[in-house]
Amino acid sequence: MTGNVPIPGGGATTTAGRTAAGSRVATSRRWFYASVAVLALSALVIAFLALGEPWNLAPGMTASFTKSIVALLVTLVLVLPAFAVFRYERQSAGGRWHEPAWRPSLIGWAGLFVALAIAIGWHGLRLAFYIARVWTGEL
Amino acid sequence: MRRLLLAALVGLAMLPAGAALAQTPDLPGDCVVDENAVVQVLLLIDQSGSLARTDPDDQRLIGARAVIRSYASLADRVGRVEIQVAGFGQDYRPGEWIVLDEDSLGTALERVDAVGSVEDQLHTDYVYAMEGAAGAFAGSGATCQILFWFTDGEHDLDEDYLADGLERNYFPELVTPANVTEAEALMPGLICDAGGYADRLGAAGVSAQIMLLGTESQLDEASRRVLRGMGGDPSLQCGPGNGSFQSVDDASRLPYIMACASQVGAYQLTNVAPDANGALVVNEGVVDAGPAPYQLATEIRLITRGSAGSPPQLASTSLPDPSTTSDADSGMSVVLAHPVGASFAVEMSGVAEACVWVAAQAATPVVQSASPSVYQGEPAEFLVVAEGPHGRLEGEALGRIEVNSENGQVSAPDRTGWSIGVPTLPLAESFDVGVEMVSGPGLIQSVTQTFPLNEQINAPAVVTQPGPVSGEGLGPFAVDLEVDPRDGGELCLTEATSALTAANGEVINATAGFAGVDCVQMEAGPVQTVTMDLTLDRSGFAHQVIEIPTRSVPATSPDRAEEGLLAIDFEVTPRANPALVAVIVVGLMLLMLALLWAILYGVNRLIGRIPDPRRNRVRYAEFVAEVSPTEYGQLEISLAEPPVDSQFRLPRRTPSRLDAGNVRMQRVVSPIPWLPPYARIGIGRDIIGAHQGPGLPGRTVVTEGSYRGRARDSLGPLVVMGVSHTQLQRLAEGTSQKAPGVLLFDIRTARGADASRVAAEIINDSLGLIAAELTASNMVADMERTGEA
Repeated sequence: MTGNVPIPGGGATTTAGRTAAGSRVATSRRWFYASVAVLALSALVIAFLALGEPWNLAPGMTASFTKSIVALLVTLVLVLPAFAVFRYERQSAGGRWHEPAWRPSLIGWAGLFVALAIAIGWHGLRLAFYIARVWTGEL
Repeated sequence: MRRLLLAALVGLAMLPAGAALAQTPDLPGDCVVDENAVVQVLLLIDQSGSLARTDPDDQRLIGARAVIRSYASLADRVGRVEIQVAGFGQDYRPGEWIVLDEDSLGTALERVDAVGSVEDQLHTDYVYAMEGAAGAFAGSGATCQILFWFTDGEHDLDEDYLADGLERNYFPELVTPANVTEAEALMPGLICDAGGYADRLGAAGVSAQIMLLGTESQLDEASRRVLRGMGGDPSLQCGPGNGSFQSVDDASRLPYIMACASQVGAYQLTNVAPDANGALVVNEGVVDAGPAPYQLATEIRLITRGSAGSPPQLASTSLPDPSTTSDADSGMSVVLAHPVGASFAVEMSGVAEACVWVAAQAATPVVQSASPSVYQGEPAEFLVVAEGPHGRLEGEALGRIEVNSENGQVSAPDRTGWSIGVPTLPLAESFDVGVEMVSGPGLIQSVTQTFPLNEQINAPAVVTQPGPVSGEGLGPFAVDLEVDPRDGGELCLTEATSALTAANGEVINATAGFAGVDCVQMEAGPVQTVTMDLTLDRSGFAHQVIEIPTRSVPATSPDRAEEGLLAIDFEVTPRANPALVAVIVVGLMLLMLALLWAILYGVNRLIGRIPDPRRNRVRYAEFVAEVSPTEYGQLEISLAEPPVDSQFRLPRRTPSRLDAGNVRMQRVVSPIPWLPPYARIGIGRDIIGAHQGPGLPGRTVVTEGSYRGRARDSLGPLVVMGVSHTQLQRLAEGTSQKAPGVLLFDIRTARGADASRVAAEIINDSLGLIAAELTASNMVADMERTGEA
């Protein structure tokens, strides 16, 4: 019944199309793995920035303050965009008829949540204490 | 007017921001800046007529004003600054000594204008200039004497103006064109020979700063010997050589050079230069490469020059409230910035040349005993920390500070400070620990801390200093003390209240006590932990070592006592409002969640967008299908009018919608981000039948109105047809019906007549599958209607 029905991306007349599709899939896979790597590394960097930091951020603790700001910036500039790429490639990769062959999504999600948890739970909390103290101190 | 304005601005820029604590010593002649110093500055300005040619715009006035203001900035750091502005040419025209301070600054500047703007003297006589300078400093009791000598040329008794003869006190006859060479030849000897004016100035402790407007190489040898010799070249044997010399051949550079040369109370960074693009960056690393750690810097002065009409601009800075002044005429800019002990960067653009000066404050040593009580005849350890102008110094900065003590062995610094070990304390009532802390050249601070020495009388004693204490709010903050009761007795705090200095400069009083009382009674026994409370009278940010004297009285000898000193590293912050913290954290969480939702939703919209048929070479063709009932109650669908390749059309498409004839695909993205996006596909009829994909591996759908497909279904092959309920009824009655349909098809797979054939095959195959599905659903519907099992 299917006879000579050409399959887009397949068949003798579509060698060029199949090659192009394969190239898109390969590119997509590279973006996917790059985003997962950025997520994981960013989570490690944010965790590293939290090491040894005091709980009581005070004026003059410029290095600690900078670390917290850097951690939040890494979250905004690297983690969330990387997650966007990760999510996009996770959903769109694989061509027209097949699901993607790669599904290592756990490290991506884990990277996201670890980064967010540390960024908000430690750096954000310290910044919140700092702001609250300065506010209280000035009032 | 603009030059006067610039001069005022430059001068203002030179003034320190507040009560200056910087103790950088650099004054000409290695004078020490301290509160006992008396500084005398003689500003000797050339008044020869040649200035009309060499400095027609009076740039020397701007420079001279900068000199005056630079020294005026010293006034609050030394005992007294006196200045005299004098002129010279063929004669010496003295001024008066003015005590320079904020009140007299205007008078001194007026004097500069009055003297500096004169250019009526016909000759340039160095002998008269130095004779006058030596006379001005004669009998001076100042601790620091500086001659700032500006001239635009060499010693010259101009023959053109000697027709009537010129009387010189060092030449026995009138100087005429006939003997002028002979008279001029006396000059170097009168100044430079033993007992000459240079020697007299040197003997009086005068340091000469010489500024030549012109080129040194154009000077005759005699004038060069005087200017360079007095300006710090001892090989020329003209005075002690304790001065400095600078020449500038472009009058527009004069303000810059004079401003750089007259900086006092600061040290110059010699490793600073703009890059090829004229960018100059000064950061903590640049300052750290200077003689002192950057944490001690209190002021940075960037004196820069671009080009005439285009002064350098402050491109960026991370320091608060920098002051910037610039002058277009001379192309000079002055930026004053105040570091706060942290990383920073100041960037300027359009810089051709720059001199950068740093004022720094010496670190102050703070000496503590490692244990609160020290005893005669026993070893002891004392701890030294360095307090800088911006707080305590820690880490690598300590490695650049030298600590000396004659009272014990000083260790290498750890991350927090130094220790001084004393093998055996003397049998005396007290012990003085003297510490000298050298933070850089001339940045020396010494302190002597006296510690009372105790006899061993077995009174209760605190064994070790308590650890660091930190907290928020007013307290009370618990401080655990390890106390050895020995024979028992009483441990008291003799001065329970100590003062903390908060970050904003306010004083916070910390009161210590043992549950509200100053003393605690102890029974003989092993070492115990006694909790001391610290309570503050106000909240604030503070980090400081507070010292609390103690006094212990043994139970066995109540008439005797021993003394100690508790040192507590105490850090306190205001109490954070929990509600505010919660609001901020929740706000941060909401922000992150909102961003996360935006990402997920945005990705779903991207994923759910309809692919571009033009890019994917997708076309559609409309056809008419004939639906007929068979004698077995099934439906049969055949292609009534197959499309030909000339009927293929490009669908109209936006990312959210595609129209291909009667077929409409609409992207649907749920705001709930974990629901996947889909495309709603309809053909405008009551019943839709569709087959997606290549034959059997594809998907066949028959449903009411529309169905959920994928956006990628628009790439085809997709066969869609629709029938109405009325047509179904007529089919049930045995009447064949015609139904419209649409094929979406990738035309790359076939061309021309081949495309028509392939399209017909796809449609026929799909219609067969749709017919089967439609028959099945129709039978189910019939059974539901009739109630058959």
